[in-house]
Amino acid sequence: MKEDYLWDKTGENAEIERLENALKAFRYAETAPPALPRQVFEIEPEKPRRFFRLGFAFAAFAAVAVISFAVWFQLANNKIPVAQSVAATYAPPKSADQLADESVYQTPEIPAVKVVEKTRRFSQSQSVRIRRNAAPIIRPDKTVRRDIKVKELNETLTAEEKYAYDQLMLALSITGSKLKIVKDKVDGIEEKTAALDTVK
Amino acid sequence: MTGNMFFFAKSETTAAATAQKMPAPVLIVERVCAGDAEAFGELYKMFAPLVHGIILARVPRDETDDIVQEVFLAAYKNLHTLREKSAVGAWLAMIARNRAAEFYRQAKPTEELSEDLREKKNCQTEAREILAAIRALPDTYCETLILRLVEGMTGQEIAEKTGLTPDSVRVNLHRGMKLLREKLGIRE
Repeated sequence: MKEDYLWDKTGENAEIERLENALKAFRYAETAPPALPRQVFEIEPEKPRRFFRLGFAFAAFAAVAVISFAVWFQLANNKIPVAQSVAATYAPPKSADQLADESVYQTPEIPAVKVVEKTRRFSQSQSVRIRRNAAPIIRPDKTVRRDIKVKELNETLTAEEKYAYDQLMLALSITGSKLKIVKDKVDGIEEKTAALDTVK
Repeated sequence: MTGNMFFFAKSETTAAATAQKMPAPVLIVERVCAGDAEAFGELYKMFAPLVHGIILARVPRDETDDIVQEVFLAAYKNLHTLREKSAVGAWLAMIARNRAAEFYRQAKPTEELSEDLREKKNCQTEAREILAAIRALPDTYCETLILRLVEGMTGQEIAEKTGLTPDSVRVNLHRGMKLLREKLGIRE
């Protein structure tokens, strides 16, 4: 059958065979399959890049934050006045005896307080460092006897001498208290060592 | 325990039976999707004549080999998107048709052959005339006839690989052959 040859190549058909032979030149010549790209199914080259972008964005944000903080800090410092003069002087409290003797002698007009101005940094409140070089405050209970002597001396001393005398007395009292502390410590150590010796 | 063993034995036998029942292209496609490069070679061997024939029906012969490779590369990249694995032949044929159409969209203007080259090509004149006559036929007849006469497939093979029914292929072959005879001036 002619038509069988066209369908399944059974039988004979010279005409179709001639066409086949002529067209054989165009037939597919077996070739190797194309070289496959590597890892076609792994389609995730974006992830590292996305991670990098995220890291870059974070770093940029941090840099911007630091720079803005620095700028704010600088501006805040410049807004604060560098120094504010504190005109008010600080008068030291006077003891009852001194008040009583005020009529006898006049203490010189010494600026009682030295104000050290400092620029503010973090807080709004202005801190003032006060260096006290004022006249000593003498406690009335401890200095009763001394005050009596002072009374006697005050009659012969000038105001400057009186001030120097007070300073000296203050230094002596401080030194005495320090010495007492030292003595107590030494006594305590000695007691401890004695107790340890007895234990041994 | 014995029940479980029986169940596993039964499931293995059924799996083996389904594997045997599954057509070869489906198995090959699944292996390719699993990353088996050898399976891709088998797929290429199985369907390259079909793709070649479809492209030859539309594109100049010199370009066909390159386009065949391109078709299979595109297929490899998109094979995981193929839902109906048994229709891989029809899917490849569709990619081949699209690539052929794309070739003409991107085609650059060509120059005519010189006289010497024309003389050299004279030995294939008859084959060229026949091919030109087949290309002049409607697409459905053209493709089927090229697959039959150029690629040497039987009607049944054409039907299996293109996804057409055997009856459609038979009709296309007979009507196409009739038109071709008319074009070539061949008496039945």
